[in-house]
Amino acid sequence: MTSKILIIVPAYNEEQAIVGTVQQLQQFDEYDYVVVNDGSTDRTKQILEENNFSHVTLPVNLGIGGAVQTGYRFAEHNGYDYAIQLDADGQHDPEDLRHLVAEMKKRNVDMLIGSRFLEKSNYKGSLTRRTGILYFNYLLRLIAGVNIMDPTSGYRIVNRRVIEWFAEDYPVDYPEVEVIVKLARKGYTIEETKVEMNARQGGTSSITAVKSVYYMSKVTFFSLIRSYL
Amino acid sequence: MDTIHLIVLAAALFFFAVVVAMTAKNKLTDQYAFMWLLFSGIGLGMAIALPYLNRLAVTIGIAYMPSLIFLLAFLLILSLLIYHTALLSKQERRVRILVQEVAFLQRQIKHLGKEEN
Repeated sequence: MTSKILIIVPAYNEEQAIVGTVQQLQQFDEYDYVVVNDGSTDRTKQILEENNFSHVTLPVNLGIGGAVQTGYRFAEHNGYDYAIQLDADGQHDPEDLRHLVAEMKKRNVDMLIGSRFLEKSNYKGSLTRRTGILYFNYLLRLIAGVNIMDPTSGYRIVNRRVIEWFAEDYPVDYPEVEVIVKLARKGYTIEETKVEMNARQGGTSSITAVKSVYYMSKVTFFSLIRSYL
Repeated sequence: MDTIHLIVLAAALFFFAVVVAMTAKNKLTDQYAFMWLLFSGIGLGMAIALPYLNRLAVTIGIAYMPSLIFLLAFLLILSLLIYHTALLSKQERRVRILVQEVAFLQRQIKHLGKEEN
């Protein structure tokens, strides 16, 4: 039986990159996709409508957690077996989609994360970003007992069980690491597979220096208290 | 009964009456009304017991009785704040779900419109 697979593309002010990203996705007939337009203030909404791209437009901005959760709720409402998160800014290479799906089915895990660091890849992040990633890797090993080389990667696929969970409960901001802690602590299986990541096609990263300090503190704090209390 | 006791008692009674009137006119929903009735009741109780608070303050080692009042008021306000933040968080979760469901409905409406055309 063929599995129903949904690609969730959260988008906030991605007028420059969204057409390219969706056109690449449309080459994969076997997967459905939905762009979650998170109350963008630029022309993202008009572009989605003009091009007749499959999308859901949130009337107000909910932030990354709320936008991604919208995708999971959509997947849950429409009976999808698997859901894949993919960034709208073109950083995630759609060429890896089939690889992600095939590995997910082969390994039969609950979540499979597309990783930049499993093998030598072309990814070149800033020193701050790489330090943060290393920090989260240690944090996850310490409190969740899992060794995830690329814990902040948003390129991930989950099964129906996790879709149902995320539809009900998903962190509001900086969700990537926190959900790994939650899933691992509840006994869900999480693995990684190698993917390529590109430079952004447009827009700007939402993570600044100040935000990265907040990011690390927030994730550490919430992961700890929600794991042990 | 000295003047200050009378003033405090009158203020507490007035506040209690305001809460009761607002509850009666449905300006406070049940959950909040109950909380405010409880707190204004505590305030009224403290106003009545004002003369005894001196003794209580001395017993627990507070030399200046108004400090005890401020301490109790501070704790009461702090608990109110945390309660309101919890309610706000709950409302935020509900609003998020509503926004998501509205977005799904808008999508459905657009699809139905396209099918009709």
